[in-house]
Amino acid sequence: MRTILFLLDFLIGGVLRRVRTLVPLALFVMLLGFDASALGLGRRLAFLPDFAFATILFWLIRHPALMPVPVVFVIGFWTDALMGAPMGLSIIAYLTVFYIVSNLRPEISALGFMGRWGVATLSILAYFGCQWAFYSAFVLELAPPLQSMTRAGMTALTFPLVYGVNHLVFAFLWGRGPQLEDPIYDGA
Amino acid sequence: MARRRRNITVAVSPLMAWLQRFAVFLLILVAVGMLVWNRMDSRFGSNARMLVADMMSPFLGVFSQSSASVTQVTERFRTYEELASENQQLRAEVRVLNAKAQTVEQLLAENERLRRILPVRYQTAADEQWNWARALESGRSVGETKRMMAFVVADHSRRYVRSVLINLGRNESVRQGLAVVNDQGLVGRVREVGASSARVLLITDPNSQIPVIIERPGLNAFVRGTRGSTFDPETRSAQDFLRVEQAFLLPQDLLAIEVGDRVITSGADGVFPPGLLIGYVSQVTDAEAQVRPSVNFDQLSDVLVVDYPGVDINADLIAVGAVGFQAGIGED
Repeated sequence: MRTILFLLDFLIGGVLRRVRTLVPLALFVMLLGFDASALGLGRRLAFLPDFAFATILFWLIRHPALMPVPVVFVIGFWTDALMGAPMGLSIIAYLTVFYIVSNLRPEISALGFMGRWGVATLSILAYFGCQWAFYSAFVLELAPPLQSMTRAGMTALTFPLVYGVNHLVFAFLWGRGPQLEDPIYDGA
Repeated sequence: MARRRRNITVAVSPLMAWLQRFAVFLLILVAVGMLVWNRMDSRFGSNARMLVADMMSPFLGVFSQSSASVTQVTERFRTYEELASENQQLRAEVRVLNAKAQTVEQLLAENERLRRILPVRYQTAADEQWNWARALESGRSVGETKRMMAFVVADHSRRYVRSVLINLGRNESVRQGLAVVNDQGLVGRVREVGASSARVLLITDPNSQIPVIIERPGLNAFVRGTRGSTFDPETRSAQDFLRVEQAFLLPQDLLAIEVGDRVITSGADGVFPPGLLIGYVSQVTDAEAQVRPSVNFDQLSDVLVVDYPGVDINADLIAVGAVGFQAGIGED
């Protein structure tokens, strides 16, 4: 019996442990799909926060071990491919955010929620700013910045909501209570 | 053997450490390279884009259909005052349209009579458009033209690249260059094709350039999408506009254009059928003329992909090259 349980744990448990590390990516793909789909919002689309990016930002800030640089590259690639944008545009923006968050890692560990929100806002501005700047360079003229600014503002405003939801997802998957600090990943 | 392996590890370790340290910068360089490559060759990444679109298409369809259903439900809960006001407005429009229809009937009869006494048979853009309009109403085909109903599953009309994704692809014989229309007019053309989805470049994208006829003065011109939006006093909101390319107009041509002039495709490029409605001239200044598209891109859901017999992708490329079309993301 113990052997069977061991085998089950080895086979299924191991698989499940690996599968749960894919949950952030699955969340991202789902939210990106929602963002890309024809919601009939028209001009109001500018007020729709970029939930897909905010989700990745949460995992970069709180659990960076789940977001290594190659994964961030693939996320940027997937974004560009689905949105029909010039290839490389979102990759640059995501990698820039990765660089900022990685460099602020020691400070982030010591910060409370408001401080992390501040870091997130900085990262959001960097993400949309990068996209706008590189797109302008790509088309060799200044792209209208208003929509990017509006989306950046809305994403920053709704970040606490995304943070809360993703924190609960993490707590559910890794079997912990929804606590603010995570001793495993903080300081990683 | 073990010693040899240890030597290799010792030799490779600094390289790996260096790679890990500078991985972000290296990948950013790779991404910049991709962007530059995309700038030089707009087809770069096309296969990857359509592979992702094919994989996501059913998923996007679920969101889009759900959203359409929600919109339908909310439409039902409109207030009585709104419906009464709309009803009144529609009645007024019907009266005007009835009057116009009578005039059109008279003009058609007169036209037919005049043609009978003319020695040469010819078909004008207006005839072609009339055929198209009747075909769209009745569901018939025009000549060898094939029409396929599609559903917009992803809307990027408000993003950097103005395009939409439709749920038809190579499996349904959709191919690059086909025109996409709806009941309001020309929507765009198919730019990239996957197995079960296709990306449509909208006419409002700056990389879309279409040969047109400005009907009343009978001017041949090109219209192009613009990157920003302009405030429209009529709708009191920011709208996307098309710009009449001045490079192909004489100064006196611009003077001949008036606000309200209908703009239709000329079919000169062999890509779009002639006579498709693009929009109406909304503003004319000394420097430029703007066209308001007839299609409401904010509520784009069902479209028709039109396999017009005249579609020739090479002709498209030639037309594009002939006008010095700047290399860009929407170029085919």
